[in-house]
Amino acid sequence: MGLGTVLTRRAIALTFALIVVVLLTVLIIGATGYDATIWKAIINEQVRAYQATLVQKQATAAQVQQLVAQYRNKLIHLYGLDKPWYVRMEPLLINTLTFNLGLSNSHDVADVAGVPYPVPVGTAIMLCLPRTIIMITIAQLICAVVALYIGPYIAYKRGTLFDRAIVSYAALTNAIPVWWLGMIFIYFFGFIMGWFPTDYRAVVYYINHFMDDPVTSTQYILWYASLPIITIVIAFLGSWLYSVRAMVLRVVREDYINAARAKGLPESVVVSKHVLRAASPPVVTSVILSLAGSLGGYIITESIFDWPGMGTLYWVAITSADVPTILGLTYMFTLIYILARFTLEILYIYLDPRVRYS
Amino acid sequence: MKSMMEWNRELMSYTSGKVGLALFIFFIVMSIYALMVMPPNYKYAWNDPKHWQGYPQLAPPSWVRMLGYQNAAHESQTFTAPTSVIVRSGYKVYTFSMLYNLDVKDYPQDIVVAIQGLKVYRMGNRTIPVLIQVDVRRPDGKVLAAVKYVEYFNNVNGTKAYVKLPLTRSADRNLIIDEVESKILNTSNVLLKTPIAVSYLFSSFKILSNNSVLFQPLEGPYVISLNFYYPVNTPYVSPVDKATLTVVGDCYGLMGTDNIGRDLAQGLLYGFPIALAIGFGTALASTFIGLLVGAVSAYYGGWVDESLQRLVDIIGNVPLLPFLILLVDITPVGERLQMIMLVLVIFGWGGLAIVIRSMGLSIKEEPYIDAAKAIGLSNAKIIFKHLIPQVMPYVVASLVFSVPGAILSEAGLSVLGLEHGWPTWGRILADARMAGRYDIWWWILPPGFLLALTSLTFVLLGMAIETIVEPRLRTL
Repeated sequence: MGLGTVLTRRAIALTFALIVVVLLTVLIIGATGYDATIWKAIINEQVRAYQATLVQKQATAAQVQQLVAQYRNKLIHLYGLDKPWYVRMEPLLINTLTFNLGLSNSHDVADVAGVPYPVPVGTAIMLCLPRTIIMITIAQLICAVVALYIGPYIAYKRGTLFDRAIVSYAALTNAIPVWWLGMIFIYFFGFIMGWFPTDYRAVVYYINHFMDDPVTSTQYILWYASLPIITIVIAFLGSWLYSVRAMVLRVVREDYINAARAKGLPESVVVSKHVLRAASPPVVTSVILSLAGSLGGYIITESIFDWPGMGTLYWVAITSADVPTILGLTYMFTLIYILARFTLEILYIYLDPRVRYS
Repeated sequence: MKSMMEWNRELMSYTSGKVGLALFIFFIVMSIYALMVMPPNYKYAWNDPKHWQGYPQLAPPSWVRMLGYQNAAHESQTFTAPTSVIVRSGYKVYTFSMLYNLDVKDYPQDIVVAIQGLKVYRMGNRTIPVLIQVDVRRPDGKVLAAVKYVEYFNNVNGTKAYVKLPLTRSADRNLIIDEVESKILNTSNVLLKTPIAVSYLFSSFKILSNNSVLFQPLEGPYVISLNFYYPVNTPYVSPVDKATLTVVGDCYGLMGTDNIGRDLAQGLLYGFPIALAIGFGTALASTFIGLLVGAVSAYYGGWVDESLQRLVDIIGNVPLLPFLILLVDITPVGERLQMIMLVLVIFGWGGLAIVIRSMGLSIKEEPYIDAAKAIGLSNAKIIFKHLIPQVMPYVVASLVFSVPGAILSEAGLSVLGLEHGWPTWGRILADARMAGRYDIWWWILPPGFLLALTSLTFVLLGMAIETIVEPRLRTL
């Protein structure tokens, strides 16, 4: 099979997976009657408002009853509640897949986005994505850079006190839930020491009005983002260091490294040309996948910090039962992940000769 | 295959294995103990504020007193017979009394009595009402009433009332204010605050010029007595089956209490079996599916392999946490815990299936598989007898590694705000978060610490097992 065929096959498989995931989401929302309950509540609300206006216009009781029934039927037809769920879900599925994400019908979602209600789902996502990048992607990037610099070094110092300290640190932080660490840090560094903010929602203002005063905004954004970033870096750096170390160690033990040393290559060349080159595919995989994963936000951690990113947006969409936002975000999460996977497939052609020649 | 003994010996040869095994045994022992002492329907008791009436609220653990903290002690005494019976001013007075020593500069939170099986005295068809009064004799000799309550026994048919559920009464704040004004301050022209009235029971006073009152804890021995006033000719030896007198202190038990008085030691203890059940249930089921799918996929190949691989591809691309949140959110509260486990099982077996498949592909080429086929062994038998045992050690390690995942997911969802009703560690943390009390260290630290310890236990154990089954890792 040629390289093109392999990539095309992967592209088709990933697209298929993407469609199935969206289909599954639609299925969960539709088949369980979740959306019907929500629409019914909305219809009742609108009918009540309509009834109130009719009473104000002093219509007779019989008239009101008739008009309200008509209005209710009109709404039921409009929202498609008279049709079975799969018919109702069909346009939703098509629209989502074609990025026609629609309008959010939740005030809370608009609130998290920091713009007036009603907000298009696409706009809400585009507003929240940079905030998640500022907090979580940057934190992961810091972890990745530090781990890539120190990880191979630790692998070389295997068995020393420093190595054992790093491994213990990794085991410890791997066990601690990051959101719990966040709770404790907010209390200790926020409330007790007063070094960091305790309410993070206000960052919306500085991000949404960044252009008004870029310098001040940057300062404030940094101040708001610092504790979340510190928390995530502390919680994840250990695992990062440990896995880079393990990936390098796996290569260092290979025979061809010994061979390279035996033929008299300087250690720096052995490291850069043989060790790091061979260890790069798994390292790149973990970097790309965790950066892609970070774009979806950490729902629980963002919620603890009340950080208005993708994770909080999703949670608010869930609590306010906002179907368009739930669907749109699920689609985005999956799309980002699948694009990352596909990027990896392409990168592997360069990184791993076995892919090229098999 | 190695025997259990050999496994055990090898496990013990690694420090991480030793520590992991010790912690694991600790978790098992705690779970078994919790299951033995956990009353039935504890889930409902945990969520019922009435159940926690006799407990202090937001009280630190008792042992902080030993560290020199000024927290009033919590004392509770249960009686089945009165300490004295006397006849006074036309009544027969049954008295149950206990001693309470206030030894720190702090106030107890409340005085609570719980009375079970109160005897009903009748004259002809008429029930005679009984006066129930709690008196506090202070170190300064003053006697104040904390509770005054008349039980009329309306609608009581038998000879006893409150047989099943106790009659619970706590200190009456208005009454205390009246008592303090008339018996200690001798004036009602002062400013006393009702919400903190219980503190006045245990205070010494000074009236300031602007009619406000300066008060501070009055240390010394207190006698708390519960009195029942019956007619003189009552024949009973004891007017109740059981009476409990509680001075609700400002500290409680081993782990303290939360904002509605729940004993956190109980919640944390009952969290053990629930955590292990969630963790092991999910890990066992998803590991089993992953193993089976991987083995079948590798052994059969062809379209079976292809379709199973597509399935793995799809579940591997599902955004797990968003899906989990959505599915748990639309589930009724009573079934959410099961839903969390179900979702984690359904979407959790993909990774293992991939690994087992690649292992199985090489095992399939071994000559003994061909031999098994040649002697006519069925496919199922070959998979179960020859393929799966080969990958078993790896599967055990993977199982152990995957145990904490579900426990942490449950905790995370609880903290996020998805209620499921069970007293789990995550739920305790969630309650602290909902109450906005990050400052209550005995509420925030222990559950998180236990969650971390769970992860650590299984990671250590898993690492040790992995080292045994994969000797290449020994130098890592």
